[in-house]
Amino acid sequence: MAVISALPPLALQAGANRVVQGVKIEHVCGDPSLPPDADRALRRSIVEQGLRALTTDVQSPTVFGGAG
Amino acid sequence: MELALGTFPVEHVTLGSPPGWAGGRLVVDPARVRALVRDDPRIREVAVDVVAPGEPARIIHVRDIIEPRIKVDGPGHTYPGICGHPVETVGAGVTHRYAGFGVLIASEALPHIRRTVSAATDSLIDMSGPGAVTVYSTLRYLVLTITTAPDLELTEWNEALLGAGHRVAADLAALVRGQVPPRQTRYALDRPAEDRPRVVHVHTLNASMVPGIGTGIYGYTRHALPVLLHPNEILDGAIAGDAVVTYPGKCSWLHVNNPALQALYARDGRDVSWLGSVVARTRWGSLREKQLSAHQTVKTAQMLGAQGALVTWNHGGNDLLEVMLTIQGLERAGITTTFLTIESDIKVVRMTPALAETGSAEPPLLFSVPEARAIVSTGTLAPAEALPAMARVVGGTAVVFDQERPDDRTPAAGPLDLEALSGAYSPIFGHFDNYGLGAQSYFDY
Repeated sequence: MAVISALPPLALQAGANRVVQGVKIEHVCGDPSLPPDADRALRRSIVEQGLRALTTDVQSPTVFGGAG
Repeated sequence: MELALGTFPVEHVTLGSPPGWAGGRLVVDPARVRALVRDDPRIREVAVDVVAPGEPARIIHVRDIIEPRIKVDGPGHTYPGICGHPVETVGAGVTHRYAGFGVLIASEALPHIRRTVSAATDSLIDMSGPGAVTVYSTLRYLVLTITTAPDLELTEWNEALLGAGHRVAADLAALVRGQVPPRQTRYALDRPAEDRPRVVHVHTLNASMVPGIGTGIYGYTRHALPVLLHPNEILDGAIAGDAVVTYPGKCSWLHVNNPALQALYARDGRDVSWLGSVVARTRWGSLREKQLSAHQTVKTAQMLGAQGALVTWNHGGNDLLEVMLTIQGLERAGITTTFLTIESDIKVVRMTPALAETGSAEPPLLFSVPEARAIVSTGTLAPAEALPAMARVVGGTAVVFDQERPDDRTPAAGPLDLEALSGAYSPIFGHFDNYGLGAQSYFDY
């Protein structure tokens, strides 16, 4: 399992092993202040990070990406 | 910066004429109060009531409580930056205040505001019985139950209500402008001395994610990087609330009566040197903002030469992340911390003996760091029993316990089993008691 979170420290403390850095609490998987194309690219990169996290073996809790 | 704070205790309040204060008895002219409240075309109606502790009374739709304070000598205006008051720095000179008394603004949230602001919940204060567990059950109130135009947008509604409350509070405070206070206390920070540890108050305050409302610093409510305040500024009302959010940590009365300030003043010059209050905002939306706020708060404490820090907060939820990151940074910088906090399982609405012993299934703190080693708990305020029927209800007639279901209204005069009615948070105003003012102690639990 991988979790996309605006606040990875909270996700790690809750016991998540694969955490993908989201954008903000108000909009975890995108940024409405960006132009549509840039927002779409950002959302795609976060989802791709999620897929990469799911297919990566981890030895300890790991944070993927730094979109925030 | 030196402030002489003159205190006029209020032990009795009546409606009548002429208005005035003498020997603990405050007379309020209701016609004058009504005229002051209605001096705003956005306000349609107002009811004026006096409520005292111990009465079989329930106050509902509490929006804010203001302790009347007036600047008698020195720069600026009490409660600066809000309601058109100047933003000039306060905290010096002479201020007069009433003690044990507040002007309480009551108004039911307009339906469109209820829908858009989840923090504009319905809250209540029981003046007697098992629900009288908070400090707000111990004050005397002039309650202004205000009906506004129904279509006001959020900031207009807030300004109308808050302005009315402050017009009345300022007018009442003016009654004692020229009088000699029965008690006067001088507040000034002592010069730091080598033989006393230097202590800073890290005063973290929630900023609303909804623009224009919430706790303000000189009326500035938006998220911003930390600012250093002299405690006298806070005693003059530099931190004040709005009339929308009902979370108790933003109450205007609370900030001028914050026991953390009194406790630090009692120690300053004796066994610590208090350097001031670093006010850092909380509930930033992103991790980087939370980290930045924590880093800058730590840096400010370091530049002040702090060796110790009393860390407080006034909210709950994800705000704890930046508070804990701040504690971590302070400890790593060699600044010893003590954290004063509620236990975050604040969803507890009825405190049974079993629950008091074991806690709820939720963790008491949503997030923690290993560096937070000295934590003082102010507990979880909740009554042991369901709330009984009350002979008198002020502020409205019915309450909504679930913001998602505004049509589900419960008559406020009847018995209220909060556990059954209120699935989420306790509606008791002041139920999270960040600074430890509640009436319950360990022995009650």
